[in-house]
Amino acid sequence: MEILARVNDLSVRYGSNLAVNQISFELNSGEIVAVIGTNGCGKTSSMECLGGLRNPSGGTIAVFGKNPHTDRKEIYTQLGIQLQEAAYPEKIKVNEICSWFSSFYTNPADYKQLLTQLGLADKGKSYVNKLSGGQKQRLSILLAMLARPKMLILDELTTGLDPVARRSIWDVLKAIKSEGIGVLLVSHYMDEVESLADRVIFMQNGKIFFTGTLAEFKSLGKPGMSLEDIYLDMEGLL
Amino acid sequence: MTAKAFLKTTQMIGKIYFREFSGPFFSVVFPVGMLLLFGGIYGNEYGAMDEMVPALAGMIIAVNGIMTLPLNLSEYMTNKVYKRFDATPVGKGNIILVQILVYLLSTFISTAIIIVAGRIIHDINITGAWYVIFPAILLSCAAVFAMGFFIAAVFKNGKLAQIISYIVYFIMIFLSGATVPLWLMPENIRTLANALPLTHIVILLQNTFSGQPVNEQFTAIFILLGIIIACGLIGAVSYRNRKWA
Repeated sequence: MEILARVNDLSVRYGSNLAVNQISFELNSGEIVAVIGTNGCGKTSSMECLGGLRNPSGGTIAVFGKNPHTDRKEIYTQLGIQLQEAAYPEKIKVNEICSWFSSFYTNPADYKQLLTQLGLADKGKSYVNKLSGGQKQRLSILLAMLARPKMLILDELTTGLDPVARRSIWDVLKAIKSEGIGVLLVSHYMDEVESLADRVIFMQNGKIFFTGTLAEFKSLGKPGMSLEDIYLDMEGLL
Repeated sequence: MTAKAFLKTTQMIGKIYFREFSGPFFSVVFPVGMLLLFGGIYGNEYGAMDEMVPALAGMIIAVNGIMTLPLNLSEYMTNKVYKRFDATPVGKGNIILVQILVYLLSTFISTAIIIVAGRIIHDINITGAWYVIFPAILLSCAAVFAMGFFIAAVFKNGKLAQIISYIVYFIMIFLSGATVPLWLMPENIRTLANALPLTHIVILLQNTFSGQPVNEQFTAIFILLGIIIACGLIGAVSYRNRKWA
C-alpha cells in the first residue's frame, strides 16, 4: 500500500476564524476515506488545501511527495478532483468538454469508454448545462478520471441527487477503488459512508474528532444504532 | 501548457465565443449594418465612409475588449469556472491568456471584414501603409483589452463588473466618434469625448487609414500607452490578490 497524501498539523485561518485547526491524516492507495462533519467544520477548506487551491495558514501537505500549492500543475497529472463549488463553461457539449480536458494530459483515459461506463454515452452531443444533477456529477467524475489518477478528491459528490443516481455513483466509486485509486470522499450521507468507506475522518469545529476504520467508528455507538445515529450522537444532536 | 492543450483550448474558446449571441453580433453584424445604413444615407462621394470604416474598426475593438472580455472573465470568475481549470495541469492563467488571444483574433477578423465590406460596397480609399495601420490596430486593441481586464479584475462582483463594462462601452461608442462622427456633435460633447480613450483610438485609426504622418499621432499613442500601463498594472495586482478559492 502506497501513501498518496500526508497531512501534518494543517491549519486554515480566515481572519480571526480558525477554520481548520492542526489536523493530520494520510491517504493510501486503494482505500476510500470518508471525511464527515457538519457544514463549516473545515472539510472543504482541507480538501482545497490538498488540491493546492488554497494556501494553508500552517502545517504541511505532501501529495505524491510534493507540495500541492507550489507543484499544483505537476500533481494534477495524477490527481483528479471534483469540487463542491465549480462550474463548466456554458454553451459547451459533453463530448467537447471531455475532449478539451483530455488535451491537458499526455496519456489521458479514453473518454468515450468512460462515458459508456458512467452511463453518459448517449449524452455526448448534449450541452453540459442541460444535463440533470446526477448526469453532471457523473461528468465531474469522468473529468476527474481523465488524468488516469492515482488519487481522487470528491467533495459532496452525491449531494442533491436522487437515491437511484446516488447508488449508480457508488457503483462507479467501488470500481474506481478496485483499480487501486485512493479516494478522499467528503459526504453528509451516512449510508454512503457505510457502503463505501474503509476509514472515517470525523471533523468538528476545524479539528479531527475521530479517525479510524469504519468498524471502529461503528463501535463508538450503542448496539443497534445506525451509523447516522452514531454520527448525530457524536455531534450531540441525539 | 502543451501545444496540444493550447490548440484545443483555442478551438474550444473560439467555439464558445461564436455560440454566444452578443460577441459575433456586435463585432460583425452590427458594424456591417452601420456601414450599410450610414453608407446608404451619406454615400462615399465626399469620403464619409473612408472615415466611417476606421471608426467602426474602433467600435469592433471596443465590443471585444470592453464588453465581451470583462463579461466573460467576470462570469468565469463568479461561477468558479476558473477554479475548475485550476484543478488541472493547465491552470486558470493559461485559460485567460487563450481567451484574450481568441478575442483578439476575432477583433482582427471582424476588422478585416469591415474593411473588405467597405471596399466592396463603398469603394473606400485607404492610403495609409499596412505596416502603420496594423500596429495602430494592435496598440488600440492592447489599450482597450487592458481596460477590459482592469474592469474584470478590479470589480470582484461579477454583476457590478458587467454593469460597469456596459456603461463604459455605451458611453464610448456613442460619444467617441465610433458611430456618430464627432463633427456632428456640439462643442461641450466634443470636450467630453476628448476624455474617452476610444476617441483617441478612432482618431488614430482614421489618421493612419488616411495615411497621415505617424509623428502627428503621438498624442493618441502616448494616451493609449498610458492606459495600457495603468490598467495593465492595476488589473494584474488585483488579479493576483483576488481570492480564487
